[in-house]
Formats: sequence, structure tokens, C-alpha cells
Amino acid sequence: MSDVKRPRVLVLRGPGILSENETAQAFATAGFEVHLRNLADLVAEGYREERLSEEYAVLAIPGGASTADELGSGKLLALKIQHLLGWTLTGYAARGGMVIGIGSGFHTLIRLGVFGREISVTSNGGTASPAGAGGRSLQGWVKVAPIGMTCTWLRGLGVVDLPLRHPEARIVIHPNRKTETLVKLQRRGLHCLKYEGNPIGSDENIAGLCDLSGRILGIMPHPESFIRWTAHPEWTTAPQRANAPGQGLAIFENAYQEFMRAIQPPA
Amino acid sequence: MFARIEVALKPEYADPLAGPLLRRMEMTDPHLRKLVRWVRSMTVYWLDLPLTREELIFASQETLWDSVLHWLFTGNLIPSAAGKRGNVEDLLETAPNRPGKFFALEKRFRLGVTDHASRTLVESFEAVLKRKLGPEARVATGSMLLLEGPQLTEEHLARIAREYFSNELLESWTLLTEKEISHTERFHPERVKREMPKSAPARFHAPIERLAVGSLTNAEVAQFCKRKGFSFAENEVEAIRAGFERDVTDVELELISKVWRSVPFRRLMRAEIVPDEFAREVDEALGPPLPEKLNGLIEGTFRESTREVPRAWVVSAFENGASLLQYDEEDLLSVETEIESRTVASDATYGSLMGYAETYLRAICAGRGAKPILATDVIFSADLHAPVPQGQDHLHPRRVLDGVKTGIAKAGAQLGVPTIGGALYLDAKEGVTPVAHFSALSLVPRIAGGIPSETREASAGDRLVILGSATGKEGMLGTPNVQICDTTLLHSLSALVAEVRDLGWNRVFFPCGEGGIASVAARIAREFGGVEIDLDRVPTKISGLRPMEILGSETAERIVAIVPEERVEAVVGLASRRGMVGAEIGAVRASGRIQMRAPETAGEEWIVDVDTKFLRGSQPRAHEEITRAKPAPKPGAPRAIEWGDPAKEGVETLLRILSHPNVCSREWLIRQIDHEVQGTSALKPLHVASVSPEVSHSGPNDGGALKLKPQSNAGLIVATGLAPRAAAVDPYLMGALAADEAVRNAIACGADYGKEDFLFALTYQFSCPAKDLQDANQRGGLVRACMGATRAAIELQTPFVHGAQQTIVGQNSKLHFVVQSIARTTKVAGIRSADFKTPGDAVYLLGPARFGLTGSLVAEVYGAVPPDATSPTPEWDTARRLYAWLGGAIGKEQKKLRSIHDVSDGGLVTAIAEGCIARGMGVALQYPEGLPRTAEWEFLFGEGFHGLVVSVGEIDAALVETEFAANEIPFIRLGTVTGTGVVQIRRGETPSLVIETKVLRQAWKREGYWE
Repeated sequence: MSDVKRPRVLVLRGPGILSENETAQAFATAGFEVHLRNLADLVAEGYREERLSEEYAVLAIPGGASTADELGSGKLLALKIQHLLGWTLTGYAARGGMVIGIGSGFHTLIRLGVFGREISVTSNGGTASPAGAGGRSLQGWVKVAPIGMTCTWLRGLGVVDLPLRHPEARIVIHPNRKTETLVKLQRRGLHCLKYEGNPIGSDENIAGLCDLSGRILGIMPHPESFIRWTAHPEWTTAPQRANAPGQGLAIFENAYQEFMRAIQPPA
Repeated sequence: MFARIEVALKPEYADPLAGPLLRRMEMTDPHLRKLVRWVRSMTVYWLDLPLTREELIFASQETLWDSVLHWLFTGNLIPSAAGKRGNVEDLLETAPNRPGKFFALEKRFRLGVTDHASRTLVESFEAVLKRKLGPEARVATGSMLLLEGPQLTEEHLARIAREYFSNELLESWTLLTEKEISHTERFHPERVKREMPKSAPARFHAPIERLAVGSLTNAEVAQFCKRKGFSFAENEVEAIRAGFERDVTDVELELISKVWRSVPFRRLMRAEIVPDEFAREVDEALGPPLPEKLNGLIEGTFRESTREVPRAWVVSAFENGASLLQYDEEDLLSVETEIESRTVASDATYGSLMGYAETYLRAICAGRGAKPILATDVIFSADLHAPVPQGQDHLHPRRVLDGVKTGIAKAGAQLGVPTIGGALYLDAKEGVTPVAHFSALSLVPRIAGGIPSETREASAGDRLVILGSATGKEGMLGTPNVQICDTTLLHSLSALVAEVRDLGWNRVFFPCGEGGIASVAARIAREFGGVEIDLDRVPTKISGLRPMEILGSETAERIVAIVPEERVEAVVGLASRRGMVGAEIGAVRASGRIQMRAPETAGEEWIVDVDTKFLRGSQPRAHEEITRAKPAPKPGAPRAIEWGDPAKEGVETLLRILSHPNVCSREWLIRQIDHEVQGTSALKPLHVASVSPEVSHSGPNDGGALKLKPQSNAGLIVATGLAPRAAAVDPYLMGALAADEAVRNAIACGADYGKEDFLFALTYQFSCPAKDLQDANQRGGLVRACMGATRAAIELQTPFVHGAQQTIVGQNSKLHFVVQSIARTTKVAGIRSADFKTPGDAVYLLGPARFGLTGSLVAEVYGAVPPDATSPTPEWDTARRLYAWLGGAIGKEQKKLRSIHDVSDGGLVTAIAEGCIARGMGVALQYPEGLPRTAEWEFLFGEGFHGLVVSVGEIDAALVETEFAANEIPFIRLGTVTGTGVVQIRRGETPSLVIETKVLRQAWKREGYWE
């Protein structure tokens, strides 16, 4: 067992990132060797994207407040990744890397333009009220369903329950270019995860997006918070399942399986 | 280069500021709301940056403009970033009534108030341009509210500005006419230059003031102290006079004041308290009489339980550092509490955020550095349906509570701590400003960086390093008493603490919250022998701060670390890389003294040179007498009248109770505050049926639980107890009920109890009006409440380990008394929620069922009690047996229970209804015939000690009943859960209360701010 090479994941930490420990735990449970690195240290080292490709199978941008509600959630982090580190992430994915951005980590990917410049996210420090929500901004659990086969992270996943932390953060499409953008997203399989129902008013119920390669996933609900069944709000109806894994773990296991497939010697 | 940039959301998107503002207006002043036909907000930036025009355009587009969401109005800087016209007219055109009558309100922070958004913007510009902009870069942020309404007058707009848009303590606002809105003159560089906030001028270094205590009269000393903001009592002045054979500096007095906490309330905490014979008297069933003398309130009450119930898992209790409990082999738990009312009165949002942040700051400093893992908030507020207070100084309670909610939600979301417990108690007799009680638990590694956390060691020569934010005038006289906490910086500080700790670079951390550096210095001197500080080396935000101000500045974003000399450079360097201040300011000394100097401002001599023994041992102890007067009947207090037949009036009573402000659903509050972050919450404040926000229903749980570690089956449980209505009967009863409820609720959630050295601790929090302390009877009530809780803690073998107290100034209020429990379960699988789960399950009432109507919610609802109504009575022996069975110490069938819910507000029937609501279950229950009328009411709706409703699968019922009998646990089998969706309760064979669950659910959900 000790001879088996474990894939390595770089979990970003830094100002405003809150969920790095949960994210690290989720990857560790799935079998990864986890490295938590502070963004400021990576900047100080001049850590280029090529080195990221060499050293890590996965890059994770966890959720949190991501430092800049004032400028838009995930904005400052995206500016630092783009301008100070020079990472594009699409190049990293093309070289076999996988990326996941969760919650405001997803917002960071959006601000980086990974899913196109016609996509954005509303985020207003917890005070925004999505249209149709009657002024309510509720924490809670949602059902999400994968769409299509493009996204490597969501392979084999059915409808799952996941917690949603910032329901004011709606994914929106440029109002003047909505139709063509939607066609593009659907035709290319980029719209990979949708909310069941429309609990927060995201355009087209978007709960997750992936890039063309299917290796970069941005996801609004938090799978890293559901790696144990006891996190589910209804688990006490079946206490005998207290030690069972949560449904979010499958997403991290998919990344692990993808890496193991990639290093398998050809038959 | 000067520029003004306005950022507006495109009209397609809901406005995050305007929407809630209109909603608050609708809730509290519908007439004013009707006058506003349209409203839209914009963020405004005033820039003075050392950039070329091209650089400014590039950086602004990169940082401020999201082409999907925003329009940017910049004068003529970036015309393409707006709509067709390229100016604010684009936005005004979206108003439904054109031509309309437009106004704008513009606000910005006052000078001296920290503007965190401006710092973020500078940081983002630096990232985009890949260079530092230096100290000459200046940015100010604000916002503009555009309004349309033909009938709006200047007076209306001023009201909107003051009550809904800005807080004049922190922000200034101006009114703009339509002409001023449309004109581009405000973008002109000269105008922007004029409007840029002026830097605080470097002030003349005020000399150190020296007080000749030996030669002045007491009156002269008092006058000096008053001018400086000290409130020493006369005997304290005498003690200072005796302790110094020389002049005392104002800096030394600041130090003594901060350490002695010389305010009347603090003096009571350590006073010699002498109850008279009335105050000593206690109902025999509740406990023994009060002692003839108590040496300090906390020492004589709560700490008594710590001594009476010694536990090996109590590593430290009631220490200045956080109380530490041993959670498992690897980690300790620390407990911190804080109460805020004064700052909440200044600004509900920032005040509550500050209270939360202060608790968090102390939590991260526990042991040798800790990680906060959960928060609880208990809020006491005025009735939300109270009439709108008149006058400009009052905001509607809903408006204020909304602010508190926003502050807590923001803090929780930005600091990443789940809020999984607490309470909201509403009372028509409360003042408008809520009182918020905060608690935080954190996890402390027992060994970090190779050093045990419980050993707080430092040596002479170790250095003091200040970390976090630079020092300003926070918390000083003449500044707003509320600060805008930088939660991002605080969270980074938390990460830095963990990093330094894990590297083994620090000895201990001290928070610079309450008491500032003064308090830190005193603690270091007391713990490690002496300290020397150079106040000139403390990094400051503004120039010209006096040593006294540096010493007393209080903030939630600053700590002092004790670091070995060889690690100072590394710690300071790491802080700098993490974007915060780090500076060596002094050293630990073996001098037995606290010594400070400020060479640049005050020369080379010591400006503070105080013997540690003087600080610790010279504060005189006050002498306080207390009594207990029989409560006089007050208008509106329950009166004695005969009650009707519960079979006829029970349903109506139940509906009134379920929709009562203190019983009804808190979903509107709970679900706006994060209880999922960290992914550990295993029992949430609400149980939920069906995951889907559109169709799910929820019901209340009795507390919260965390599964902290993936590899461990253990869980941490927290619960809250409070019984404010019982204060009118006897504060002693209130204290005992609160403690029992806190214990009972934790056990209902699945806590271990009664096993060998089981972890089960209590904390207290109380706040009371300052004026009450002048009254011996009110003081007596406070002491009795503390004694009642202490007695219950001793009886239940659950010691108090920590607590907090605060006075409420400037408004009507009453004693708020809260007990919280912290417990552990060895098996998370044993956690139960309060909802009935399966039709056919047997339903039981466990406990002695000695409920009373006196002090109950039903008595409050009816404003009356029957003449023969009784008060709740404890049976401590029975309670210990019952709790030990539920807690797994005796028997083995408790794991068969499918739901557990405590009987509290609204009594047995309410507890049963709450168990049905989420899943739409019904019940078919029966209670004995032939009870006298009052006893029947007390059985159904009475409240008291040790009552729990449980359900168990029918197949297991016989086994469970056998264990009840074997362990002498009183129980009544009430009936079964049904799938009919009808709550049917029979008196013998006669239907007594019959009602559909969906009607109960409607009643329970009726209340809520957003309605």
C-alpha cells in the first residue's frame, strides 16, 4: 500500500478563505496527499503554473469570504492569481491538472474568466436578496443534479443533497447575451450541475460549471461539508448510518479515480 | 491622480442595499415607505493615487468593473463602462415614473473611522499593477442612494438618512438634488481633491501628566480622574495614595484603572456580600439558605460549584486566560464569553459584530493558540410588535434586531465559525437596544510545536511582539464606542496564531481586546514575574498618539505574543508576509514590576513603574448588603382567577403558545446565520424534514452538536437554559431552572451523563441594568439567581467553569440570566433530534412531572394564575437517575429512543406539538382522568424541572419500560405517534385536545421579522 503513489492536492489558504481545513479533509478522505499553502507564500516564491502542473494533480480553491465582499466575492483572490501568480488554470488543466473552486472559490474561477466573460455572480456580503426570495437569504441544504458527461468531477453522480452557505450568490449570465451564452454552455457541456427547483434564483438553475476539458469545476454548494453522513440534516432518522460517508465525498473520489486511471500503465 | 468612481448594479439585478432598506422601512414606517416610489444604490470611491491616467483606467476596469453586473460612472474617465448615455441618467431612466422627482443621499465614513474597503481597493490596485502604491495612496469609500418620490421632503429624506441609510456616529451624509445628481461636476479632480478625507494631523505630543496624590485632597484627585475618564471609588484613591510615595502619572492611573476595572459593577463581583435574613431564606425544596457572607459574587457562587464538584477534565476554570477543559487525548476545549449592549446601542450591526469578534479574539488566544469551532448567541430584545418609538433617538426594535442579526451573520460568515446554539428572548418590557450574549468554544491542541498547551511558561528575556492591526484611538474617550471590525484581518490573525503555534515559535498569546496593552501587561507581570514595554515601538495608525492612548487602546484585531528572543525576527517577518503589523515592543522581566517608557515622547525615565503586588493586592474590597423584598404586584402581572376546562380551552391555548414570540419558529433568524461552516455540525438548531428549501419543514432542537473529528466517534454538545419569567417568583428559582434546563437540553441532544468523569460543564452569563445595583433588593435578586444556578450545578454534578457579566446602561431592562452547558458524547450515533419520526412509536413523559403554573408561559399568556397554582419543584435525586439513564451511565436501552425533547416553555403539550410539526406527524395520547382542574392545567401546560418527552419504537417499548422501572425513573406512557397528521390528546377516554398538525405548524410559523 505504501508503494502506491498518492495524488497530491494543493489547497489554497489565505485572507478570507475559510473552508481550507474541510476541503483538505475531504481530499485526504478520498486518498489524496494534501498540501495547504498560503497564497502569499506562493506569490513570494514566484510559483508558476508550470510548477503547479509538475507538483500537484489537483488545485483546490476553497470557500469563504475570499477577502473582498466590497469588490465582489472572490475578486481580490482572482486578481492575485491572475496578476501576481500569472496562472490561467486552463493551461494547468490542459497539462492534466484538475481544479475545483467551491462557493466563493467558484466565484474566483468566474472572476478569472474560466467559464467565459459572459458569466458572473452576484455577491453582496450576505445582504443581497435574490429576486423572488421575498427578501430572504437562507442558509440551508439543496438538492443538486449533474447534467451531461463533460465534468470529470461529477462522473456517476446522481441527485445529491448539499449545504448552501451564501444563497445570495446567484450565477448570472450577461443580460444582453443570455441566449447565445446559454446555447454555448449547453452545447459544450459546461453547465454541469443544476439546482433542483430554483431555490436561489440562479440563471438556468446553475449550481456548477465546468470548463471545456471538464477538469475545472466550480460548484456553489459545499460538497466538502458533506463527507460524513452525520452532517445531513435528516441523519437522525437513520442513526445506524451515522458512520456512513456523505454524498459529497464522491466528488473528491472522482478526482482520485481520475488520477489513478491516468497513472495506470496502458494495458 | 484624483478620480471619483461610482459603481452601480445594472437595473436587471436586485439592489442589495435598497431592497432591505425598503423592507425595513415597510416594517417600521409604512407611511414613509409609500412616499418612496423608487430607490437604487451605488458604491462611491474617491481616489487619490500615484498613477497615470492609463494606469488608473486599466486598474479600475480590472478591479471595479464586472461588465455582466455593473455600470461605472466615472465622469469622462471610462465612458464605455456605463449604458447608452454613459452617466447616472442611465440609472435614473429605469425609474418607473419619468419625469420624476429625484434625490440622492450620499454617505461616507467620518474621519477616524476605519474604512476597510479602501484598504482592499488599494491592495487590488497593487495586485493589478504589480507594485506597491506607498503611503501616499489614498482611497475613501461611501455609497449613494438615489430616490424618487414627488412628495418626499427634506425632512423625509433626513429621516431616511438617519434611520435607514447611515449611522451618524460613524458616517456623515449629504443630500443631493436632481440637478446635482445629473451634473458631472462631482467627478472633477479639484472637487474630488476637496472631498478626500483629510489625514489626521500630527498632533503635539502632550506631556505626561503627573498627579501629586500625596498632597492633593480626595476631591482634587476625583476631579483629575473625572477629567481623564477614570472612575475610582474613594477607597481606591486612598489605596493608590498609600501605594505610591511619589507622583502618579496618568499612564499609571490608566493601567491601574484597566486592571482594577474600577466601575461599580466590577466592584460588586469581588465585594464582601452580606445578605440579610430575608435574602438568605430559600425554599427547602430548592436548596439550603444562603451563607451569612459571600466573598465576592462569582467566588461565593459559581466557583463554589467548581470546588464542590472537582473534575479531572477541568484543566483551568475562571482564569484570566480562557477556561480549559480536556476534550480528548489530543485536544483541550476553551470557553470564552462576551456580552454587548453599549456598542449595540451605538450601531446594532457593527456593535454585535464587535462583540462576536472580541469573543473570537480571546478564543484564538486560548492555551498557546486555538481554533474557534462554534459560537452561540443569546439575544434579549424588545417585543418586535411594540409600537414605533417616537423621536429621532430611537429605532424600531425590528430595525435594531435586524442590525444585530446582520452583524452576527456577517461575523459568522467571514470568520468561518458555525453558530449552532443560543436563544432569542423577546420581552415587551425590554429597552429598544438588544443585549447580546456571545460564546465561543475553541479547540486547543494539547501539544503544539512540541510544547504542552496547558503549561503557560515564559522566561525573563522573552520578547513581547504585537501582531495584527496598528494601534489607533479605539475604545478611548472621544471616539465612537463602536468600531468597524476588520473580520478579514481577524481571520488572518487567527491563521497566523495557528501557524506560529505549530512552528513552536511562541510561548503564549494575549488578546488586546478589553483593557488593551494595559491589561496584557498586568497579566504578563502576574503570570511571569514582570514586564517592560516601550510604548513608542507600538505601531500606530495615526501620529501623535499619547502613551496613555496607546496603553488603553482596545480592539478585536490585535494580540501580543510572547516569543523567545531568537524567534522575534521570524514571527515579525511572518506577520508581515501575512499582511499585518508585527513589532517587538518589550520583554518579560523578573523585576516584579510593570515598567513602561516612551523615550521619543516622554524621555528616558519610566512613565509606568508599578509593583505587581500593588496591582494584585491593593484594590480595596467593597462591602455590599443585600436583601429580598416581597415582590409587589405590578400592573399586568398574573392575577389569581379560576381557570376554565382545559378540554375546552386547550386547543386555543396551545395555538396561542405556539405563536407566542418566545416559542414560535426562529427559522427566519437561524437560517440567516451560518451553522454549516467547518462541516462539523451534527445536530443543527432546527431539525428538518425533506431537503429542499421550497417544501421542507423544520422544528426546534434542544441544542446543537458537532462531530469534530473524522476519525473519532465522539461529539461535542452545547445547549442553553434560561427561565426569565421565574424571576418574578424568585430569582433563586430562575437560576436553578436555567441550570437544569441547560443540563436537560444537552442530555436531550445525546450528551453523556453520569459515566466516570464525564465531561459536562456549565457557563453563566448575566447582564443587568446598572441602576439595579444601587438597590439592595435588586442586588439580592442577582445574588439569589447565581446561588440558585450554583445549587442546581452542584446537585447535578455539573460544575461551572466560566462566565461573563455586564451592566446595561441607558435604557429600561431587567436581569438577563443565561446558563449554557458544554458536554461530550462518546458516540455521535447516540445524538437524537426532537422530532417524532415513525408512526406507531410509543410516546413517554419522563421525569417527576412536578410542573407549576407560577412563572409559566401559559400564565403570561392569560395574565393570570389559578389561586391554587404551584411553583415548579426539583427532585435532584430523581433527576440524577433520569439523566444518568439517558446519558448512558446506567441501563442500555436508551439507545433505542428515537426522539427526545425537553419540556420547557409551554409545557408538555407544547413539547409534543413541536415534535410533530416538522414531519406532519400526529399523536394519539392519553392522560389520567380525575386530576383537579389546576393540576390538569399544570400537567398539560405547566413548566418545571427534569421533564422530557421521548419516543421509542413499539417493539422496544417493553424493554425500555423495564429499565425505567429497574432504575426508578418516573415515566408516564402517553400513547403513540400516528401518521394521521392530527394531534389527539384524550383525558381518560374523552377527547380533550384535537387539532390538525398543519394548523399547529401555521401557528408556530406565524411570527418572524420578514413578515
